[in-house]
Amino acid sequence: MIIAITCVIAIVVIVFVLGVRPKDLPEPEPVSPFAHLDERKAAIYENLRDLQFEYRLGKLSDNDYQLTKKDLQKELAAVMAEVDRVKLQLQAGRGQTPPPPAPKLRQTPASTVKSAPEPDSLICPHCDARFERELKFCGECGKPMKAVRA
Amino acid sequence: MVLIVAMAALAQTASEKPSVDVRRVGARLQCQCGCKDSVATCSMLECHFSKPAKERIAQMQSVGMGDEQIVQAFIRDYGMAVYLAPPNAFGWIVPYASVGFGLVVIFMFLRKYRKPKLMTDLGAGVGDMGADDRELAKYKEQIEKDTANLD
Amino acid sequence: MENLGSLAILLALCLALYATAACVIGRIKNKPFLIVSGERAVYGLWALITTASGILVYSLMTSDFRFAYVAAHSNRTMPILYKYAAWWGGQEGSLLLWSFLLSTYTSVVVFTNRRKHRDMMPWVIGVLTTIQSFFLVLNNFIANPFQMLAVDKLITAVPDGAGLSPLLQYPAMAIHPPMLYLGYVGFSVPFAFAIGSLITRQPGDAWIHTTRRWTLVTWLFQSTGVMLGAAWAYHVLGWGGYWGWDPVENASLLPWLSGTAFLHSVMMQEKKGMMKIWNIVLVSATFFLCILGTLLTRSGIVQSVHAFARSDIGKYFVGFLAVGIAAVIFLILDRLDYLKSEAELESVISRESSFLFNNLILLASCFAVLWGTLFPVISEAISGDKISLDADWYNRLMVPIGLFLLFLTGVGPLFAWRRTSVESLRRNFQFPGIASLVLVGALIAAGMRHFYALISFGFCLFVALTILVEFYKGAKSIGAKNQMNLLRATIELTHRNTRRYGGYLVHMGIVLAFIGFTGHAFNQNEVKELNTGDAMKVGTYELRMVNLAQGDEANYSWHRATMAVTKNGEMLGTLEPEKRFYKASKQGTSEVGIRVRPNEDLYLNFGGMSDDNQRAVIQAYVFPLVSWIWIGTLVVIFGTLVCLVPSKIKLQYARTEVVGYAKNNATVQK
Repeated sequence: MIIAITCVIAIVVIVFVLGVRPKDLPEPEPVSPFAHLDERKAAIYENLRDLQFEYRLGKLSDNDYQLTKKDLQKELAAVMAEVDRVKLQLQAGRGQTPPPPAPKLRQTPASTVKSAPEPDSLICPHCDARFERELKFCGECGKPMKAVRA
Repeated sequence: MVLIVAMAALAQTASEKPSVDVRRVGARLQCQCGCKDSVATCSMLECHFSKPAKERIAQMQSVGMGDEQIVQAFIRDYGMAVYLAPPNAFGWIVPYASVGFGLVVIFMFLRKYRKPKLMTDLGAGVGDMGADDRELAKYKEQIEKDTANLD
Repeated sequence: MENLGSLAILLALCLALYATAACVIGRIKNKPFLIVSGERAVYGLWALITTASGILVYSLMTSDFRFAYVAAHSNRTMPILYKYAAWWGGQEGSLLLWSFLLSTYTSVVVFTNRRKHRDMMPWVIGVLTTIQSFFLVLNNFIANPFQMLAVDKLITAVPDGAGLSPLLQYPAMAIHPPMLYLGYVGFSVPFAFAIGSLITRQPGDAWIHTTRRWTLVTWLFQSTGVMLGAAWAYHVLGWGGYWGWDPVENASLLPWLSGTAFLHSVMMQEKKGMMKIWNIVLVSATFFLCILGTLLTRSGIVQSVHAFARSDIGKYFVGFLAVGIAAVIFLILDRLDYLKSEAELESVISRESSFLFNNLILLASCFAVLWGTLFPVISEAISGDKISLDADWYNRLMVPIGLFLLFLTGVGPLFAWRRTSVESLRRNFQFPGIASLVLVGALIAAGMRHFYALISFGFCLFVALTILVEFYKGAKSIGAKNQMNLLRATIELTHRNTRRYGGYLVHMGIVLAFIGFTGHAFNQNEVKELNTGDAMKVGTYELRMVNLAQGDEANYSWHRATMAVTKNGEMLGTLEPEKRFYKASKQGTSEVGIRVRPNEDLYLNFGGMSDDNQRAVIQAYVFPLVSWIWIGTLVVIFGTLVCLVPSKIKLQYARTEVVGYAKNNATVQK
């Protein structure tokens, strides 16, 4: 009896662990090459906001405020320059000229992953490119847009 | 041990509320009840070792024995295992030395990572236009727009 | 049953080893199937360990005394709660609890990150399952909870067990060890992420953002665990104190101190990209101190020299620690370039520097406690002298350090990031500084002469005022802008930046606890042997014994004194300290009688019966302000919970958008 149960448990475990089917592979979340730069930017903006707030409360002298603000803006500019550099590199890598990146105001969601506001049909399932209107084929990679997402 | 019984009246108070003197000597003796404390700090009430030991210390002190003599007497009766050395200089120096060492590290850190004074105290960007400033000029508009949206 | 339990932990060990290998090899050879299979193994691992734990708990509940563990740590008459608590009452069970908690944490990590951090996760899982393997080796081969009692290969049961140590038969004890363990084990996760990020050279601080909540929750568990331990010592041990610098207490404090340092210094990295090496060092140190804490608690190395022979589990821990520390040091040295600081210090007078000092003091206190814990062992090994470090030694060393830390708690938030001019400092210091000087002056005038107590009260007021001013100014500003009353505005303010204001609340809790600690300077105590009708005095209280009774319960027998308490002729009620003698384990415990008031506790302990068995030995203590320690702890817990609430952010700014890359994950966790 015990031996039977033992065997069953062992087999169940082995099948569970080794029986990975292709559709079990998780689809990794797309990683933006700017993730860490955006993180950095968000941190600097937060610093700026805190700085403004503390200044308004009278915790900082005028001079401190001006100097620190300037430093933060410089850091921000450096990060933005880096973003542009990476963008150029990517474009060169693709050998195409994508539409000019239009910076857009966005609200930062408070939690980790909020679904994007756009419906899925506006995003290419193959390369995650985003379009204003529905297309039959992706303008980026040329693959069909209507493909089913696993 | 016979003496202790004879001096029971004195001893009773000694074990209940050890005087400063008894505590001082007691701290030099390892309690044998299984705790890791000294006789003075053993927290066990009615401890079969520390209670009579405290009484004995008080009794020995009352007949004028010095600290060393009392400790020697205990060692004679219970062996070297009962002896606890006082926290020597080493025990004291190391923690404080670590604080000092930490201060030195902080000092070195500050020296290494401190920006040269010139650049920070320039004020509102008059003077040399570094690479930073040119970049800043380029993105100034974007930053201003974003900053307005903060809060 | 027992076979299934053994099988489960053995299989779990195999799975843990497999998961490590699968994830690491899968990552190196770029085989996603292997990685997913490794992740499956983690879930399987959890199921198996849960089964094993379930079997152990079931056998405890049903008093199956064929199990050696059950026979040693439980008995029939124990209340059901303590039968459950016996899970962690002994070595084997508590190590199984470690494994169980770790596998639970690992499963949660794997599940929540199943689509994120694909390049880092395999290493994270690898690190976690390596730790898991170590504990499973202990579970399987060194401290197996499923050993049976046998006579000549025939499994037999004993009629009744030895019972849980009566000291542990106390309600808080049913949650104190799991709390501490949740804290100990929890630090494995930030550690694993730090190592994963180090190995794969992640750009940015993803590991910090991902583990920030973990760290906070873990820290919360640890703080609660430490304070529950103190409360337990105060209410149960009957030596009239909440902290005795016992090695086991120290073991729980060590990772808490370094974890606190980590929580602070990580802000430097988030805000400015500095201190990267240091944060890795701190998180690793905290993790290893957790392991060391388990080692100290479980092996009894420091308690007495005999412990080495009694439990040989110590050498495995020491080995694990040595290998782990060496590996981490190698990794850090190998990747120094990756850990290069991104920023510089603008000014010496800045928040950054105050964090440096905060780290120094926290680590120095951590080191001092560690030194005090290990010094007797080291000294005996080197010179052969046994050395006594009593509570006095710790107090003399730790009181100044603690006061300085309290001071920094108040000063830190007054400094601005990057630079603070002397002028701003003066403005911020003026009001709280003068107020606390006035308080100290008033206390001196009132006749208080205790040096440390004066300083401590002064600092407490200083810190409390700086925090209140922060809240008041912020709330006033927000209130004026949005037409809110002050209370609403305070809530709004806190909600906008929960981390900062939650942190201030935690600081406030620490201040309250320090008020309680300072009360220690004014403790009073008396010990008397009393018979019915006798009276004694302690402080301003008069105590009269009105009854002395004894009785017998299923689990223990007891002596109880009924003491009438009067103060200045006014009757305040009665207290009933009790002495219990547990039959199964043949140990005595005290049930103290405490009259709790915000200004002072009256604490009566039934020490025992006098030699002639006629009178009761009553220890009476007056502990001023001790309740504030518990109140402070509650505030700390509340503040930490506030920190965990997501901030209501209104940050709006351009995010990088490039066609071809979805950006919906490029947000920063706040």
